[in-house]
Amino acid sequence: MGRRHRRSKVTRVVNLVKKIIAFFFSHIGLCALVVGYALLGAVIFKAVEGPHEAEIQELVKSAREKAVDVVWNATFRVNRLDSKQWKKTVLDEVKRFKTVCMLSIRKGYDGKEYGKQAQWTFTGAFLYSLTVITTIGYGNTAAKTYIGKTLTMLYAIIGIPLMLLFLTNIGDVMAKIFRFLYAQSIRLKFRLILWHKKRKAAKIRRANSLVSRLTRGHRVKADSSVDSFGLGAGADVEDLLTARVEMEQLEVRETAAAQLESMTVPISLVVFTMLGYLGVGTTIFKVWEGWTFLESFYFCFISLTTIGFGDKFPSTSVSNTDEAQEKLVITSIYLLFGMALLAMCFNLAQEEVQNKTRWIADKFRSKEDDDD
Amino acid sequence: MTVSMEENSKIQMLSATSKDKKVATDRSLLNKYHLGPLALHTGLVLSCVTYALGGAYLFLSIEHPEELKRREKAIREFQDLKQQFMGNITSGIENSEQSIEIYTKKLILMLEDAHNAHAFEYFFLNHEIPKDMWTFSSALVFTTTTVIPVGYGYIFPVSAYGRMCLIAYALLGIPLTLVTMADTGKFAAQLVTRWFGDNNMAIPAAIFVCLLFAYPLVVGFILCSTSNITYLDSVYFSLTSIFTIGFGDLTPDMNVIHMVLFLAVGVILVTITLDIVAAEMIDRVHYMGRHVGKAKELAGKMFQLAQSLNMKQGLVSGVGQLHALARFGMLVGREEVDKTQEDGIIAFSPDVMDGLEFMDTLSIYSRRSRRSAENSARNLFLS
Repeated sequence: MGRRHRRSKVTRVVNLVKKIIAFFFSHIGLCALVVGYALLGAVIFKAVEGPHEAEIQELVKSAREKAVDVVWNATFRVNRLDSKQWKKTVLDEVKRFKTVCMLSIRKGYDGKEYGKQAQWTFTGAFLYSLTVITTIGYGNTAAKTYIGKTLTMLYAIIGIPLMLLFLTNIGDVMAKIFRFLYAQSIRLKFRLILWHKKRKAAKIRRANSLVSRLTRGHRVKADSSVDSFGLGAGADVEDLLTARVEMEQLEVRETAAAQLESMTVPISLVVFTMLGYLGVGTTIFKVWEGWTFLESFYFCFISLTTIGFGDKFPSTSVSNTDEAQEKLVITSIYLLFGMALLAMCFNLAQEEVQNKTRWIADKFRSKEDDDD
Repeated sequence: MTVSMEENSKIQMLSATSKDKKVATDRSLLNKYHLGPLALHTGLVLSCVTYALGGAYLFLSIEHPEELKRREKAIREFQDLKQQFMGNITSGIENSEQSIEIYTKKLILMLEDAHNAHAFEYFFLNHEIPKDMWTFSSALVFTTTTVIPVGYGYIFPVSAYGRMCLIAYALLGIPLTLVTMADTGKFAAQLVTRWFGDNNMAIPAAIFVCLLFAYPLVVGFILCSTSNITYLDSVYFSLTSIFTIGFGDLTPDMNVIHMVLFLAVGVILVTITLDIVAAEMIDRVHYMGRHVGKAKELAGKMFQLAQSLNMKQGLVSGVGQLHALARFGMLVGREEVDKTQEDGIIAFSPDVMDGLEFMDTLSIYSRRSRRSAENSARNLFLS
């Protein structure tokens, strides 16, 4: 009794684990996993890098205050010192201040005031996490602390395979949807063609019936020789036209069946879809950032191909205002969906290339057989 | 009697001729078999190298004049800003704090531009003539990191024409490079698999995983010893490079050739490892599939993980088919032998996985452990 109870308990636990695994590898679970992982990264990096950023900002602020004091003192003593020494003092202090600025920039200072603007807000950290696991890596925002860099490495090692898995799933699903829509559009197209053919057939049928009626009337009035000639001519014409129309309908059905059987989306349609998405992104960033068309397109292209130079980046988004945070979220969604769309396009284009290559291989093999 | 003898001799001559033809055909096919793959590998690698060098020359010729123009403008702007600041200080004593505030903001704003920062650092801080950002070596690093696609962002095109060229260049270059690296990676993986993987795929998978983790550490150590950055920064740089994240926040001193080789080998290693580990997972899940009902679903997900590499590998299936074409000649001479063994293949095919379509990559790794090398070409066609 105890043994039986224990076995059923173990079985229940095993089944529960299986269900959990199945859920997390399903589409919804995988999306949730990726978003959750990015949010986790956002929390971690904000906690680690935020204080460092504040520290750097404080450093620059104190350096500026010191520069102000020195200049003030030098200027105050202008009555007792000669202008040459005054100028030298001011220039030396300004140079020292510039040096501090340059070093701080290298450490991650971006010219923002403490408390007013910051790179490592929650949404900024979220976008950073996303650029790590998608391997875009702009570099405008990058980990500077020892712990931050270590965590980035661990985060990338776990996150990149996870992102690949997500893109595969979502790309596959989107490819299926795209293929289904394409098949439906083909069916609709051929249904329209058939409708036209049938209407044409109906017209011909009406014409045939009219000819028959005339022939029948003529037969009643005319003599036997004219009667037989007219009837024969009418019958022949009618049969020919009917046969031709039916042949056309059969051809259309066969063409539709052939295209639906192949079920591959043309590469031109795939490319057009991708260009459309880039166009949408170009418009959005052009309006937001005031970039030119080429600059916006350049940014979208560099991002979706995961090159990510970082020379163009939504800079006005790095702020604490609600609107700026909203822009960062939309940018993140654009990148995530864009990567999925790219995976879909790769799937579809790959099928097309594979089919063409196989066709070439078959042809090559046939040629070899003929030679033998 | 004489006529029949003549006919017999004719028949014998014809049969001898056909035998000679067969022998000649076998020899030519053997030559094709040996030279085909080698020519393919070499051709792809040379194409990539030529493409990178050509691109370097192109971008250098476009962007270098632009750089000089912008540098002069930047230096002039800094001088003007300085004069303005000094003037403000002189005129109004009580406004010194405000003057410094304005000066700081303008300075930081100007330094956000990479060209300005570069000119400022050399000209004002070090009192040197600024070095050129766009040299042939830096352009070569740029083109390489564009097509891989790491994208450090050390230098990048700023002119409109340069950016348009970059978009076209990347569109053509990324698929070419990824296909070449996938091809080279597959070739290397086959060697290791043939050497170690006679029984199972666990050993090659373990080898590649260890290599993948050791690679950033070793390269990090080399960088740390030859450059001026810490060990952690070196490993950080290595890891973000071979995963093609490429922040570009660190700039280690590194020879261009070493940089290019490091990136190419690293990315190939990542590709191979993910590929083989995924294949191994499918084998394990298939074994579990005899006892677990939902193994098919899990295997499908793991299989899709392997398939996802095509996004990075470009048109790897095309390469697989090309390999198949190159090996096709070998099959003609072994038709009868393969027919006999084909039944064996069917007998061993996994039932649970019937619904799945195996990619060329998987057919090599997952099936090779069950059959001899002679069937590999046949499997390519069957897959």
